[in-house]
Amino acid sequence: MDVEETAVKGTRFLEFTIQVNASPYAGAAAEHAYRFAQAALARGHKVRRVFFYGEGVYHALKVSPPADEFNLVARWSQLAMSYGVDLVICSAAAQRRGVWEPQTQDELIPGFRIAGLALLVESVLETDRLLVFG
Amino acid sequence: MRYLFVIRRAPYDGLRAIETLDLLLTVVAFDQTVEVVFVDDGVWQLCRNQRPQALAQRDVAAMWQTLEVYGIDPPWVENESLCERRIKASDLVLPVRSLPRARLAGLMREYDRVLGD
Repeated sequence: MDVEETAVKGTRFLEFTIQVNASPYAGAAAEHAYRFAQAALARGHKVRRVFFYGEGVYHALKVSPPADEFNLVARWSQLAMSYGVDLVICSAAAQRRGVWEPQTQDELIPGFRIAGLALLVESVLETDRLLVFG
Repeated sequence: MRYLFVIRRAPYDGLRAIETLDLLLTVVAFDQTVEVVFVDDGVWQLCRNQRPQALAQRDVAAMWQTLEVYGIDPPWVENESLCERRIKASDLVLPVRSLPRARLAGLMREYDRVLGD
């Protein structure tokens, strides 16, 4: 992706909250969310938190696609490591779908954590914009 | 802050309605002002005589009826969305505020945050 590394002079930098309601491989919504986050960060904006809700909680699963296929979850993880983005999987939505259960100590992919809806609302309150994908 | 939830999907689309309401109630728990507008196929969510037992699901219309308990004003419903589906206000399970389509964009601008379903 060819993005300018330097922001235009006088640009007002914003802080975003992103909500992803789509699973990583069903449709393009999750990919669009990732592309938006990447582009915003590259232009000097901030992404405080990405909250995976509804079908979006399937981002918590450790996927192992063949090496020549795209791995969206791994790219989110790299983005989180590079820019300090907080990737949160909704606990209630994940439990409903059997993606996660409180008793297990299963490690998530680096950069991801499990928490409740309050973290989404808190982030929405404190950041400039909320974008919802899917 | 003022929040507007825009409901535009038909009911019984998986867990969507239930999870949207969970989010809405979490926003309410943060002492924020919440209002709701129903447009497009979202208006089906408010229709009477739903029989969710047939789908082994919770009654979506009954869920929306609980909003009043949380001090949320009657929802907005877009007129044209009702007319296009031949739904009358009397077919709905709760009192609503009627909104012409031409005013929807203006309504959205009155809120600090707009969320979808």
